Amino acid sequence: MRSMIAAVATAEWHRWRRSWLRVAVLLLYLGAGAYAIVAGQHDVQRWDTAVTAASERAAVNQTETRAMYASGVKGPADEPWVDLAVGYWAEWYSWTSMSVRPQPLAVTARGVSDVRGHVIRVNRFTSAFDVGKNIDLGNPETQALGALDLVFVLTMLMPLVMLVFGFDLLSYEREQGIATVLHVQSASIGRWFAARLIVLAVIVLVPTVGLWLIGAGVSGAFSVQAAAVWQGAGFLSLLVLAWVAAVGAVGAWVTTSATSALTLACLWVAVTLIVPALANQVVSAVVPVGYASEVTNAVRSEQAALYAQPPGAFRPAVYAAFPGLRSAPYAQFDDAADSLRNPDKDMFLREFAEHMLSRRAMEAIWSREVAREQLAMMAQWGSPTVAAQLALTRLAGVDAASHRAFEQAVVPVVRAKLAMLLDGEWNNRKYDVAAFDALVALVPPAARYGGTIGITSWVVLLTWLSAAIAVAVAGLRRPFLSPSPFARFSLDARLSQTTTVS
Amino acid sequence: MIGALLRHEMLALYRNRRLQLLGGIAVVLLLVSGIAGDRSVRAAATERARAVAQTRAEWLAQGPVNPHNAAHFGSFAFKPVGALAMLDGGVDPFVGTLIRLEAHAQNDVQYTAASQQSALVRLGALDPALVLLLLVPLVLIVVGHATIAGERESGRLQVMVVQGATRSALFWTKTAALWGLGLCFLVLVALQTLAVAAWTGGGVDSPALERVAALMGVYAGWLLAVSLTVTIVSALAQDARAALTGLLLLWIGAAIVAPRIAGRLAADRNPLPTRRAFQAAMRADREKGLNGHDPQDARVKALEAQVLVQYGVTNKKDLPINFDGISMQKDEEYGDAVWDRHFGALEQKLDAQRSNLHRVAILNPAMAVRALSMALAGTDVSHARHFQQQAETYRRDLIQRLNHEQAYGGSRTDDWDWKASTAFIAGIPDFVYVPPSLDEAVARVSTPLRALVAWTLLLTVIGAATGARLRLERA
Repeated sequence: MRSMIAAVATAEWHRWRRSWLRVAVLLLYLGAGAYAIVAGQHDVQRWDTAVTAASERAAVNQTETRAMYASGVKGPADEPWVDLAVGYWAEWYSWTSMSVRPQPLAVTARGVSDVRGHVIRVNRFTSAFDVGKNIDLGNPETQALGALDLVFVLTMLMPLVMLVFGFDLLSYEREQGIATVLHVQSASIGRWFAARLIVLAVIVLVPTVGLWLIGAGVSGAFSVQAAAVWQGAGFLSLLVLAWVAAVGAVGAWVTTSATSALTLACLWVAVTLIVPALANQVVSAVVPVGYASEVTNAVRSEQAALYAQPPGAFRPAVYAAFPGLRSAPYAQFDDAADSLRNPDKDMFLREFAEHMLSRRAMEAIWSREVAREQLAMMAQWGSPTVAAQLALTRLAGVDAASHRAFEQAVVPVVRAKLAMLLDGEWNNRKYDVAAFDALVALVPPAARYGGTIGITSWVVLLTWLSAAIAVAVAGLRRPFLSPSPFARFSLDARLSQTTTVS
Repeated sequence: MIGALLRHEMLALYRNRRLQLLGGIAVVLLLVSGIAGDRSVRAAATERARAVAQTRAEWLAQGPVNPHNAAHFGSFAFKPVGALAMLDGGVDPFVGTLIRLEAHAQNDVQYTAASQQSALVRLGALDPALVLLLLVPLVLIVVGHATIAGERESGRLQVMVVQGATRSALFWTKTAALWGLGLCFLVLVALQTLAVAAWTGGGVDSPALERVAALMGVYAGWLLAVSLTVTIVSALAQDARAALTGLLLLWIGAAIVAPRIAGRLAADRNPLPTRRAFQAAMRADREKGLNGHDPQDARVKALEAQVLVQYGVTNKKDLPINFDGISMQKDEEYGDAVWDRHFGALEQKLDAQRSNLHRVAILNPAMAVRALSMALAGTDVSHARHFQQQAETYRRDLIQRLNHEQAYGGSRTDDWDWKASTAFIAGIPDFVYVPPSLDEAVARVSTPLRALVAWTLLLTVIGAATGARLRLERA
């Protein structure tokens, strides 16, 4: 087998030396990958800069507020009504940014990172849907054209590169008479076939995994997400093998190189273009995106309805959420007349109700999002490209689930702020710098989101690989020099038709 | 002779098993995409109608209300779903669906479909436009790449010429046959659109019909350009295999790779500011104006002095009108000027990106067709911006009416408990979006339109030259 591989490699080398097209395609592939990496770095830098700037702005605000506490002033000189010892003013000045920092591997994929928000200013009024107001500025026209990222190059262009390098697998041998020579010399066609597949796999695998590792290397992913880098490399290797097996399957059944090229091109169109696009269309039809009416209702009519009710109406819900308040000093005024109650404290009851309102609206939005993603995940069974896109964007932390995780993380932070404020108000606490810092500390620092490749995606690729191998083996079991059963679809079929021109 | 050649080509296409297979798949995809698209569009239209009705009902349900409270209660403008969005979704998934209309702020369009979907949204949606733009040309390539090269290899071209067919006639009948095949798909899309419209009961109104007709015209031109390209390459190529390789590479380059590269380069050449920088600059300019809610603001004091002189009184309390309404309107007008300046600068950058894309469309007719298709379907950026501008005009008018009522409706300064009547609130009309006419839509894509026409003419000239010198034997 080793000598067979060496023979095929030598033959391949000579073909490469004579074929400018192959060299040009390889260079274009590497060039596209390099450009995608540089473009990805630019995008990640823009994202990172926005996150850093937001954090710095919050830090400046906090430093200024601490200075006011230290100097004993009530608040800013130009805002005499501010009293930092009061809970809601302390909270107002304790705002800080919550952000999702890009994973290093975000250099390799854009995913949905440019259509979802990364930064949000968190105070007690913040809702998770405010994240959507902070999406970076973008041009829908260029966004709709698709992203030229490394994942696009490795998952969509790689099969085309393989098509150019391997479209004449076995048909070349048939057309050049090599098959007859092999047949006469009693050499194993199966071994020759395997050797050609191995050489093809190496030729495509090296630049593909190489580009991935270069992308990971320049982004610094080896020091932060080494496991994800190697997981991605393994997944891409499997993707390459699945396509090699597909090329083999076509080569084993189709007898002419032109028909083989056409079949592979159609396969590529089907799995990289039609299946994902069809999946998108069907997902949008089954779970329409609509007009986010949960949110529009929450920010307007339902919020207005809250203001039509007395704050006391929300007390049972607040006490159910924070039972400790029942025994706090201010709780003794629960049944007191309005004149004895403090409206500045009662205001927090309504604010908690508003928080619950926005949370419920976002949960409805998120549940529809999850339904859409589940449908999209099903589409990967029809296309290894879809499986690879979803898996690699997940690793890069630019998938919808990662951004949703960030939005969902906002909710408990706002709730914790409200809990601390309610506790402070019900216990008549005055806010000093320590309490202010405690409010600030509730907001976690910028975090990275992302995940690992799901088991389903691996199974999808293995299934495709196994199916392609099975088809290839079945094709090889036919008498090698017999005509293809698909000859009627071959390029020569048209030539055999009899027509008369009168 | 021409008739006989055409019959021959039709017969060959009819017998082509690859066409039966791929054509069948394309037809099924067209039907599925049309049905799925129609379902999405109808669901969106139903939800929009419900949302619009609810928003209006909530507005009316305010009853007697302080005008400024009503201004903060605000409204929403919901982007309508065009009937032709099922033909070409365009940039709709990347454009928000609603705008919050309220006092003190010009809000952006929010809630894009892309922001609520998986990363798969990057790979596009299978609407009829995608089928006509990408898949039907692929079918034409697969079926037609050997139309001349293959017959030359078999020697049949020579036979036909011996039988009296001219070279040009051979070339043009083969082109016409391919184009005719492409037009069959086009007719199918047109029929499907009309059938869906009739089935759902909505029908297609006259402006939409005009747009459908224009769309069909654009795609007819596109398919003619593709048919000409296929026949020319088939005529010039060494053999059918070379023709197929060349056409496939051209298709992949023009339809898949080039648009992404063009989009990236256009964005890099005229980078947009980050949202943070954009908002910070706008906020800084906004703060230079007066603050209608802050009576201590120096600029408010100056305005107050001016109004006091105008009414001949010395104290705000003595004014026969409500000064708060006047100061808030001044505040709005200043804000409008700031927003116009900043959003205007942003739109200039977006225009520059669009111009760059249109320039690329001069080189790549596939991008020209894409731009034209989106414009005619009403799903391009220009339509999205048109909606945004009308919504903003409505918002300004709404807030101006409310401030005017606050100022001159019968209340006095600082009387925040005063309420405008229900009749006044009900008298404010709802937002109704009027889409641009076909002429306006076409005017915005004049460069791609000229590019498509120029490409078709150029290919016709090349085709005529190629046909006249058609090689009958293999080189």
